[in-house]
Amino acid sequence: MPLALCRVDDRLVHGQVVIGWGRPLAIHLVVLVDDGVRQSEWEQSLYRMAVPQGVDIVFASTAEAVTQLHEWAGDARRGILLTGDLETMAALHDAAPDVIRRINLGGLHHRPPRRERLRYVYLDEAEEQLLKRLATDGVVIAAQDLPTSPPVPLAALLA
Amino acid sequence: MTIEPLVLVAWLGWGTLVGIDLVTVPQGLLSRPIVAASVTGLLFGDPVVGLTVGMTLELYALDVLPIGAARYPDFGIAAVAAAAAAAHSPPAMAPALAGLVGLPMAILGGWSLHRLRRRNAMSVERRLERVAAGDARAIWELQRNGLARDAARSLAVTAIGVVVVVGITHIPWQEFRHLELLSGAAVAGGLVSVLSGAVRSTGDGARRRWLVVGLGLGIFVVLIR
Amino acid sequence: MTPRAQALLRLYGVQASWTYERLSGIGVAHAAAPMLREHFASQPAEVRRAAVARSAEFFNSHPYLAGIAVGAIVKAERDGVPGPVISRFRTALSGPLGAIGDQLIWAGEVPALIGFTLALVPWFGIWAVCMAVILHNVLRFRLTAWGLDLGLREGLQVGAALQRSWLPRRAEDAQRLAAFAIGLAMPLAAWGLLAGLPRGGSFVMLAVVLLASLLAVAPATRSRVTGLRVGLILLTVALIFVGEFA
Repeated sequence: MPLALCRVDDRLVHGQVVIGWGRPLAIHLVVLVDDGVRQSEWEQSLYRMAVPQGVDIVFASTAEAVTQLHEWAGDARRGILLTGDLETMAALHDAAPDVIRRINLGGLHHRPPRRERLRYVYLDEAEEQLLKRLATDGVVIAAQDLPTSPPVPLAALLA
Repeated sequence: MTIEPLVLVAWLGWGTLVGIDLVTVPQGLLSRPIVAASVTGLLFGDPVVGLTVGMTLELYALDVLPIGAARYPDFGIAAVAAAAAAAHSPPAMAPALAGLVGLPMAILGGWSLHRLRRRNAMSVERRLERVAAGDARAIWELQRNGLARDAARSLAVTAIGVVVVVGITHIPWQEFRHLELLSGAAVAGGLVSVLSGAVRSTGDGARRRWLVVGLGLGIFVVLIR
Repeated sequence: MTPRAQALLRLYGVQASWTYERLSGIGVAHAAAPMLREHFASQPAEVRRAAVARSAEFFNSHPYLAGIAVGAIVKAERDGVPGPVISRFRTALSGPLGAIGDQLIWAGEVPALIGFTLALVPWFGIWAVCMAVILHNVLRFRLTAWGLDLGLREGLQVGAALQRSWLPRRAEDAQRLAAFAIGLAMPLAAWGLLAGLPRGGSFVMLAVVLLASLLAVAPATRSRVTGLRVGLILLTVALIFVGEFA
């Protein structure tokens, strides 16, 4: 079963992910790709505590994820792929464009020199260029914090 | 409609308290429509009408999950205005007024909350250097101003509610027929909210089964009464 | 008032200066300040200020569980954990506390209490509402105090302590209870509110509710069809109809 959602969200696992998306999409697998979290046992214990019963969470570095993407995409359980930044998601797409065909921007928050595009999406110049490059590669990109909010396509986001 | 000055003060005070309870302080369930409307009903000597309005709006509010940094309507102050309108109208109009007054007011309240957050951000921006330098006084000022701003927002939305209620009470409802359609429409929208929200937020598995069991028991109780 | 008591009180207003940029970061700093002030009383002002500045960075969690983060940050500062580690810890705590808190409170305890209240109002009237408010506030106070003390005790180990605690299990229990309570409340509330509606009208309404609910859940339409919008549209149609028969 393909990954039901590929989301970029700097808060990683939080309420919008496990309840907002996890419930309506009937998610039973969360794949968290983050080099920092992969090396930190205490951070992993936090995220394990945060996922509901019946949902497995897998931690991977970017390098590990590149080799396992097809395995997760073939998992019988519906899953969410989660990264904390755009660069990681772009690296995963470049490694497996057939798996990462749509990207959901769920939360990229304020930090200099980012500027506000939506109340939950702040981007700097390099990130905007990266998104445009991914879109040119055929990835469908939209910002949407919750499934009940209207999705904002990349073109509208950067307009 | 005439409002005693003391009742008006209590109305504005209760609306303000309900408004700041939603996000700022104390988040103690006062902003739930069933609570906000019931107390308003008591204030106007009609607790049953307050409960009816509160139940109707609660159906809508149960769909709202204030998770992450999502935007959502403010049903608390809306429930205060709707209950006040219902207390000054024929009792059968209570669910209808929950919809007619409550829903637009909830949208207005949600919008005002969004504006408040923008104002808070400007306030932080002005003290950015002091916050970055760990100035506890600046942090205290931000908290105090945030509370004052939300109190002002809540008071303003409640006051708009007062104006709306005064206008509503001039409508000669007795001259219209099929008024039950309005109540039906308001409750139907609420049922769509609560049902779709419950299906979405329970997901699959055990929670879905508990929802079905509760629903079955509720239908059974209704049928035997 | 002790610094802990001050922190507890301030946690009630942890979202007072909520913004889209820092979310509840400022509120967390405000709640932590009395304990940080006490801890750093004998040290240079710069050290305390650096700790306060760290505690004011971006933070997002469930407000009732923010005390866990406040306690854990204060404990980490007391233990002399390096600043960058505390900042990373704070960021890492944010999402998980939001996730578990949203499950326990917003998708669990609150809808459970409200659902049971709606189901009981026909029998107990306003007393059912009073009970819900009292129960919620007692639970909320105990949760806030428990969280603050857990954070103060465990510091950086708070994640493992939370995983061992009652919290994840009760979060699931609360959501099942909420699902049951909402299921129970729906027919009882509809019955109470629509007592005067003619039987034929009830069937039409049921059909409209089921159809619109399907649209509100379906992936293709769920971002456009919401209960609030359906309610407003139905009310507009009803108003036009009622106006015709004035």
